[in-house]
Formats: sequence, structure tokens, C-alpha cells
Amino acid sequence: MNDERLFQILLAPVISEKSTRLADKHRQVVFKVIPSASKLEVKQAVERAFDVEVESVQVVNMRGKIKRFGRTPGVRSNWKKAYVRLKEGHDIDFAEGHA
Amino acid sequence: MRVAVETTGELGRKMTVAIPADEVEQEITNRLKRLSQTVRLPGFRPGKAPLKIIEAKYGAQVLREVAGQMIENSLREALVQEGLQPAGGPDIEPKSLNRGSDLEYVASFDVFPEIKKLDLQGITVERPVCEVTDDDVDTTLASMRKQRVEWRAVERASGQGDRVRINFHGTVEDEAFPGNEAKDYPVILGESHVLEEFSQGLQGVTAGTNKTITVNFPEGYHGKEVAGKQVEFRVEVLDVAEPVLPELDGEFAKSFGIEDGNVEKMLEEVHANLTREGEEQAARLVRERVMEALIDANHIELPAKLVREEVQRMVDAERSMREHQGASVAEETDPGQFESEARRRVALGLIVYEVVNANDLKPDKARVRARIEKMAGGYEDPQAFVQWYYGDRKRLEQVESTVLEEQVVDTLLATATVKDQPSSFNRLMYGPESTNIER
Repeated sequence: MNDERLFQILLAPVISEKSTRLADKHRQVVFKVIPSASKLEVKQAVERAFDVEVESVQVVNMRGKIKRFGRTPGVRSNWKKAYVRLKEGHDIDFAEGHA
Repeated sequence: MRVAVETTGELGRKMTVAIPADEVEQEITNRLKRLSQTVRLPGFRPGKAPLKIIEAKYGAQVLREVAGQMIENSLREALVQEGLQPAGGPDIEPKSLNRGSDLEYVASFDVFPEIKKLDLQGITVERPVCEVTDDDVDTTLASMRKQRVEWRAVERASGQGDRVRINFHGTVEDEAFPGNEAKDYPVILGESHVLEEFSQGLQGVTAGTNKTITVNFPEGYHGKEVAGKQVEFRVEVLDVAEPVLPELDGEFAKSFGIEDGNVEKMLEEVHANLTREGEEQAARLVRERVMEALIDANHIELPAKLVREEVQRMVDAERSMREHQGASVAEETDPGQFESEARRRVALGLIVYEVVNANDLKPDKARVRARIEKMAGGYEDPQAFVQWYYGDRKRLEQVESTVLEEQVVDTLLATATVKDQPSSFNRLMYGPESTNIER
């Protein structure tokens, strides 16, 4: 697996009530990833990008919301969400440097 | 809060204020907590977003706000603590603005100069004193009569002082020019502003005369078409009238508002008016001299900021005046020309303020009333005038400040040596002192 693909895997962190709760309780961080990414790829990408060790990865395919524009039906793209569990002693703080 | 004051000049002060970090920190946390209750972030219900995330997003902004507010509050506190009063707003320069470190800033400002001489001990002020004489009254009456002059047509030839009404039509080399003709145009010989030659030509004419007057216009004449040219005017004289000054009688008095037509009463009134004018002028002169003496007695360093502000005010006033007159606004006013006058005003303002404070002066109600009534004296319905003045707070304040100024002058004058300086009414009103008050 080449580096170039690894850098394309992670799209954005998911920051929500649920994701912060999981981070506090279970050392899990949540990412939006490209739909074709596998668990292994996500694991390697996270280890690479944040210099942490990953214990496990769970993924879920999110169906894009159906949005209507007047009479025209519209659908948002489907996307993949990855729950990444970090090994003990590792942490990712998205807030840092965002100020 | 730690405060250190440094003296940078006679009036310049530099105050360094430091606020401990934890005080700042606490204020920031408070604010963030309050913010967290209301702020809406995507992914969180209102009020559910964790502090950490809010801080990341709003921390810097809150820090700036807190710093601004704390600087403002602590500055006031520090100034009271140090017993300093800045003249004009201080310039503030934050030294560091970081979380976790003390909030430190430097405020530089000028303090008010100490004014040492608040009286005029040992200074001589000359007070002009004038007596209104019968001559002065006569002069005034003469000009009043002239205002009410009447014209009576005469058959004889016109002479100096007569009014000649004419139709005229002027040509330059048989060509007409703008403004070359007029009908029913009155010329008062020897008084109207017409060219000398034209006026000469109208001497010795009678009603119905037709004549041609040749006038050589001067080079510098404002009408370009005729400047430096020879112009022929065909003139038709409509009538010639001589001036009749009104008799100094009851009718005349009535026309000036003396209802019973009593001439004696009118003379008295004129006398009273002149006396009042003289007194006012004398008071003005004394006031000017007192102020001058005061400035001379106090050579004070002026807060640069106040002078700058005053200059700015004067520049603005000048500009708006120009705008009002419709003159070109583009023409920049040079602030430099106001500098010395601004310095004078600021100095005077500071000194007078000190004098008011030192003597605990307040506008005297009775004097305010007296002054308004005095002003009302010149009007036909004094009562209405007085009421009009008392009806408006702003107008009243104006009078009050004038009275206060008078009181200042009086207070000062009491400490000075006053020398009466006899003067005539004419000299007082129109003499060199009235216009040329030495600065």
C-alpha cells in the first residue's frame, strides 16, 4: 500500500457530542473517511498521520441524506465513518491548533 | 495589580500596569462558561458543547475582550490609586497578550500642569472708564436721523448730497455690454458707489435733462468688458431730490419706539444705551487684560494632546465655516497656523478651570438673572425675552458660563491692582484698544 493512498484516506474528523463522549470514555476518535477505505487502511493512515498506535477500527457506511429542492429530489453522497480505538496512553486532540 | 509610574517629561507620565495571570484566567473561564450555555456549534445541541471545544474556537476572541475590559477597569483604578489625572485620553500599549502570563500594559499620557499663580497679586490691570458725553449722543442721533432721511423733489439743479434718479444706457464703441442699462436708478451724489466721472456728470442736472456722459473706466475695473475702455452713457434724469433730515421731534421719537413721543426720553434712552455699550466694551477689555495677565503669570507646559485636540477643533471649525460660505473646501487648512492660538486657549482653559475650583465658584443665580434682564433691556418686550431665555436649558447654560467667567474675572480683579484709565466713548469703541488687544 503506497503512502499516497494513505494520505487520501482520512477526510475529516467528526466532531459531535457523540464523538467527544466516545473520546473521553473509550479512547475512540471518529473520522470521515473515503468510502473505499478498509479498516486496515484507516488504521495505518491514522498511525501515520497522528503518530499514535491504533488498537482497532470499526467502520460504518453512512447513507447520504435525501434533500429536496422544491420538486427536484436530491441525495447527498454516501460516506464512510470510522471509529478508531487508540491504544492506552495515546490521544489525538483535534481542538489544538484550531484557535 | 501592580502599578509602576515613570516620569517621562515635565507632564509626561508612563504607567506600567500588570494584572496577575490567574485573575485574567478566571475571568476568561467565566466568560467561556457563560458562552457555552448559548453558543451553537454543529454537532452539538445548544449548551451541550464541551468547554474545551468552545475554548479552541472562541479562546482568542474572549482573551482580547477580557484584556480590553480589564485594561479599562484597571486603568481607572490605577489612576485613582496613584492620584493621577490624565489630560486627554491615554495611549495604551499592551505588552503581552498570552494565556497564562500576566497581563501587562503601558499607558502613556500627560497630566495636568500644576498652576501656581491663581491670583493677580502685584499685577496692575488698567480699566478703561468712559463718560458718555452729549457729543456722543449727538453723533448717534445724527446717524439715527440719517437712517430716516426723506427725499423731496426739487426743481433746481442737482448738487452734492442730492439724489438723482436716472435711466441710463451705456455703450462701448456703439456696442452694448452686460449690465449696461438700468431704469429708475438712484444715485446719491457724493455717496453712491459710482465712478467719479459719472457722478461728476450728474452734477447740476434738473429733472427731464437728457445728456451723454463719457466715462473712462479704470484698468482694474471688475467688469472685464469695460475695464480700461471709454464708455458713453445716455442718461435721462427722472427727478432730482434733496435730502430732508427728520426733525428731532415727537414723530421721530415715536418712529424709534418711544410711544409718548417724548424727545427728552429718547435722549435719555440713547444715553443709557451708549453707556451700556461702553460698559460692556470696558468689561470686555478688562476681561481680555485679566486673561492676558493670567497667561503671562503662568508659563505652564501644556499637555500636547489637549493642544492637538484644540488645533483639530479649530481646523474643523474653519472648514465648516468655509463650507458654509461655499468657498473651496479642497483648499487645505494648515493646522500650523492655529497652533499658537490653540495653545493660548488650552492654557486659558486650564487656568480658568483651576481658578474656578480654587475659589469654589458657581454661577450666581442673581447675576444670571440680572444679566438676562440686562440683555432684555434692549428689546421691546423684555419680559418675554427673559422667559424665552429661562425656557431653554442650553441657552441658560450659555449665560451661566458667561456669568461664571465674569465672576472669575471679578475674583481675579479683586487680587490685582486696578488702575482706572480715563477714555472717551469713541476711543473706547473704535480706538486702537478695541481691535488691537495685545496677545
